[in-house]
Amino acid sequence: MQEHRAGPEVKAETPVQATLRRAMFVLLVTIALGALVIGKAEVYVFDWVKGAVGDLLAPVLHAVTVPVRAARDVGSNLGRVAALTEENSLLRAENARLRQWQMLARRLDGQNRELRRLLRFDAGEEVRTIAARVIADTGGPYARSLLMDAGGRQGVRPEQAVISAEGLVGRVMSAGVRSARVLLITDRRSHVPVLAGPNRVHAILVGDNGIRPHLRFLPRNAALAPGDVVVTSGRGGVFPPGLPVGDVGTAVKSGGGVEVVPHVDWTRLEFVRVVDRGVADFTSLVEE
Amino acid sequence: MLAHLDRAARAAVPGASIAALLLISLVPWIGDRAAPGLAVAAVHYWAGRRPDLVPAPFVFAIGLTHDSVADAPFGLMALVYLFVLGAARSQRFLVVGQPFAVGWAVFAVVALAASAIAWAGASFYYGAALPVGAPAAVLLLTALTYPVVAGALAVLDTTALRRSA
Repeated sequence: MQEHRAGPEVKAETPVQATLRRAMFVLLVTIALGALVIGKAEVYVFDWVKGAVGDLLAPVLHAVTVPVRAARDVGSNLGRVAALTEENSLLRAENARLRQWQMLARRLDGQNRELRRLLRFDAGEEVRTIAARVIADTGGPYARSLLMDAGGRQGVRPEQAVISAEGLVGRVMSAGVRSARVLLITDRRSHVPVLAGPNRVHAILVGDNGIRPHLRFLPRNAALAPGDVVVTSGRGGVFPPGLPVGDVGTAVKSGGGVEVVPHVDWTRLEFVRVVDRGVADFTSLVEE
Repeated sequence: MLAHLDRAARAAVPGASIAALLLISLVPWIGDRAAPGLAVAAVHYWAGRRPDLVPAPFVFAIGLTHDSVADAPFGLMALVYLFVLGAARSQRFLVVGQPFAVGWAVFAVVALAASAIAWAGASFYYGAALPVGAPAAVLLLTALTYPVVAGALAVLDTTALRRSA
């Protein structure tokens, strides 16, 4: 194995320079510690700094993301070539099943429209979404959020819901000029009012920085089974009602929370859509 | 004049490589999974070999940038990077001129301590003891990828910096 060779001689410091360097080091450590302590009080200037840095680095991150994704996709596609035949037959079977569901959905959609017309139901404003590319994510252990390349300039504002083709991703936490940060439903700061199961039981979906969030504040008589669908309830006004979130999982977390398997595939999340407030029929935004 | 510019450009190599590795580690590689701390490895490498070219204010700024992009508690990664810088400078005799395996082991110990600081800081910030599984995965990946990072930086070190020495 190679050896760590001795490098060129480092310039010798005078005693004064060494003292100043140490003083600077101690000062910076103190500032970092101070920021950590003060940050507990949710100081907005730190959020502003984070937003400004995100805006500043958005073009760079965008430029780095494209080739990195391309390299990753080439690698994963090569690995999947061998399994293509089997995957193809599975997809055919799934396609046949989905066609049946599509027929049912169309029939129900027709019924729904007719009933709405009969009740003179106001469908609300037009659906509006803003598309964005994910340019940085924090698969880190201390936060579950991502940075996207759309911000205030594109109409993105804090508290808007963010979805993918599969379901709810999270909500906009802060928006800069050309980038915005999305708090994922798996982050421990995320609390989403949801409805679970065929009986549409109210609960709160809470993240814990893991891959799967869990349901809290379930009624005692809530009878949920693995595979039951979880959708947003719309309570609180942040998340519009009816957005698919995930399925009830099998595991029960310590403290009694029921695990939820999100519909979103975090490993393939490349593009997201931001939902503007005041949208009526949100289920049509997500490809079921 | 040209010689001065050449020296300045070569002196910027450590900082530029740390910043580049930070950006690479922050882009979405495999989604919501752990990513190795490439910039931590780079700070350790350069602080051990060329401490004069890795000033503390620069490392502090790198840490705050990491905090900002990764949405970590503000100051947390700045503290972690400063710790790695201080540890690498003070343990320089254990890295420079020693077999690579020794340097690798020293880095693993420093990375372990840095992870512990990050975990303690984040737990303090959120007011609860956070799960240790995810930080442990990041630590493992960081330690395992160190030879690749150190190898690439050694090439830079040899080609860009030694010639200027």
